[in-house]
Amino acid sequence: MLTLITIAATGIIILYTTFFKSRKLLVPIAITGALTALAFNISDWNTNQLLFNNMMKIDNYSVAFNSVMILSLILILLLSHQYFKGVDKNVSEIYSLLFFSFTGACLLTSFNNFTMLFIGIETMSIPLYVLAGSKKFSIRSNEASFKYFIMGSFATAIFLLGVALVYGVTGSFNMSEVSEYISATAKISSLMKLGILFIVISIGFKIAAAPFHFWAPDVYEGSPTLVTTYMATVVKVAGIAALLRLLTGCFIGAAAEWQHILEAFIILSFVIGNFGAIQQQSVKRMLAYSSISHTGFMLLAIIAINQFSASSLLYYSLSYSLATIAAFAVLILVKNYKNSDASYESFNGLAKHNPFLAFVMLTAMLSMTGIPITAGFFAKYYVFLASVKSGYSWLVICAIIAALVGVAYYFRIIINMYYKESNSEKIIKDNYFVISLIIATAITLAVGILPQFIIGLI
Amino acid sequence: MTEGIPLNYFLILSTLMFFIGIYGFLTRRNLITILMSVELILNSVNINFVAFNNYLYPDRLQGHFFTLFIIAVAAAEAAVAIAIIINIYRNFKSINVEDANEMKY
Amino acid sequence: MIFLFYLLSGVALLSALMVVFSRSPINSVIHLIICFLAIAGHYILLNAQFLAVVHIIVYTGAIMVLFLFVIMLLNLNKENEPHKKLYTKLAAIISGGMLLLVLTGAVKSVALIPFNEKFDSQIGLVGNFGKILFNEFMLPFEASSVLFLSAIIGAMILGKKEKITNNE
Repeated sequence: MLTLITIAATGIIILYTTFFKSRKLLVPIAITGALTALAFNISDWNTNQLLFNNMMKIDNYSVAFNSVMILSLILILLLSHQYFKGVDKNVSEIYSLLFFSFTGACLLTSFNNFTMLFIGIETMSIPLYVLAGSKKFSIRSNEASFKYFIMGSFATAIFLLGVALVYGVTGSFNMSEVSEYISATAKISSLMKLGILFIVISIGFKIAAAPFHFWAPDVYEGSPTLVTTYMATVVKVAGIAALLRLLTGCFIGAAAEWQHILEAFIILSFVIGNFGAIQQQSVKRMLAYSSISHTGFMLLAIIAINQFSASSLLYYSLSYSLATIAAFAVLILVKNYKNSDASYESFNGLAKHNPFLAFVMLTAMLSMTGIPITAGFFAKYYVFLASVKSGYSWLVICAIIAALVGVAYYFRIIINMYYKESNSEKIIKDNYFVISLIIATAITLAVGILPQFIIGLI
Repeated sequence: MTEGIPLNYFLILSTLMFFIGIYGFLTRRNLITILMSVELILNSVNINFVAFNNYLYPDRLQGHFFTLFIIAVAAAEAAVAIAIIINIYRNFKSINVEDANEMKY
Repeated sequence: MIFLFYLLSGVALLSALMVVFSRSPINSVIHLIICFLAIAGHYILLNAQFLAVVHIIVYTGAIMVLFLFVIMLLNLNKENEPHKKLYTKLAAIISGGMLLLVLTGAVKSVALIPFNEKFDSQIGLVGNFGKILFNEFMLPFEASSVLFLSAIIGAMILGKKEKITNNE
């Protein structure tokens, strides 16, 4: 609970710094707030609490996912100092909106009631609609903002219909009561099935799982890159953690119903994510499509729904978040320096003058592909293990093919960086930026070598 | 006050309104009308909640509360949406969906 | 009573149709207001008096006036909205109609749910609401304050007029 309060309070404190016109303090205050929240969060470890009339349930699952998300938030905040250099309007408001949105993300990992799930999704999304459009004079940013808003509000409507139907059948919003109802009744009524379908689809919208992904490439491309990083990491992890919590805590008795939906999600995500990514000329769009394909891998852990699901999903989220943040960070630098549209060509010859950046990008790309000694390898390995144990071998074979196709577009960047010539110079980056890159790369490698630290947690 | 009205009637009313909202959402191009269609959809869901609450579980007010939260969130969403629309109007001088289609793949 | 239900439903559905089909945004807004008033009538039928009042105040009083205001501010009441092509309309009708069929099919099975006969006309009044809101629904109530704060800040950031500066 203190985690949540700290995050929201930090947002409000940041809002007040506008009065002092002290831009230097912004990032330190934000990071202090996030670190405090992380400390409170870890202190909740092994304390299973049910708070506020069973509205919230704080257990190891929520603590672990919160920690991954707070880590991503801190890394993003470290990047933000250089990113907002030269922007003089509304910066502190943007930071506070980030924190408010993060409050919603924290609610999503620890909800125990449909009301909280609804409020969490909305608290996470509404600031994001604004953040996506925060480059007010950029036409693309405006477009991203309204596309995201329209799709988001439609998803909300679908979600509410689903909740209404589930409520009609069970008469409760409490997850454990709904779960008891489902296990007590022999035959699941058609209203219930529809309700589950609608809820799963609406969360599919939020995590950009195909076939409900179509907003994602445009929104990811149009939004400011830092916001895209936030969307691709924290928002996706929160959504997927909420989905697993919902399906295990509430709809586990109706597993046969939603497993078919998830099968379709997974296959389509692999196909559309990979083939979309191959065709792109812009790296930012490529990363957007590749995030769709990563959603497929994460859903693979959920569909398995056994004792390995939570831990493999946690590990995958961590490795995916770190690699994505590192990749987007390098992209921000290259894009700013070249002042280009971030095509593959702008990465040419990066290794010659900026070996550090090239190495960071190399580990990120290897991790996304799933090459050993980076975290991505064991992430994919554990996800596959979990779904094979539940008898989804055919899905795992599809996933392996998808991972192999992924080599095509991830290695294109590596080849451009190391084997192509260009007359680039050293790119300037500030200390916060370097720290963020070092942390992301170091954890990616450390966790890749010693996976048991994470995998045994929950 | 609902003697003689079966629950199904309310549900069918809400389903019809949901359909009208979806139709408007898919066919209109004016951003404000799209927003209004979304409001229609949300209201049809509200009817569902209140009807279920009143007919099946009248001893607990949970459905009413969910409706209350939906109304509150819809208000917040509308405020943000209006701001987005004004901003789009400033840049595009139009609020038709297809005028704002810069990104193509 | 069933007459009242039919009347309100007729008004609600007709005005909802007008919202979707009328060409000028102002007409849409006016019809939406009528539709919302009819829905408030349904809430009173359904014994949710407090909700009906909140619905009228928030939707008709705040949101719809905001819409009207924006339409007039931006001078959008021209009927120049281009028609969508026929096949989009067909696709919309087909997809929506399929949803309609599935939903009505599911809704028909609702008769299987046991009917609860308890009735208390006082349950939808504000006193009951307050007691439950500050006990059972305390956390969502507080959490939605964060949502409102962010909506306020967001609307302010986007709505504020600024000079164009060269920012990335």
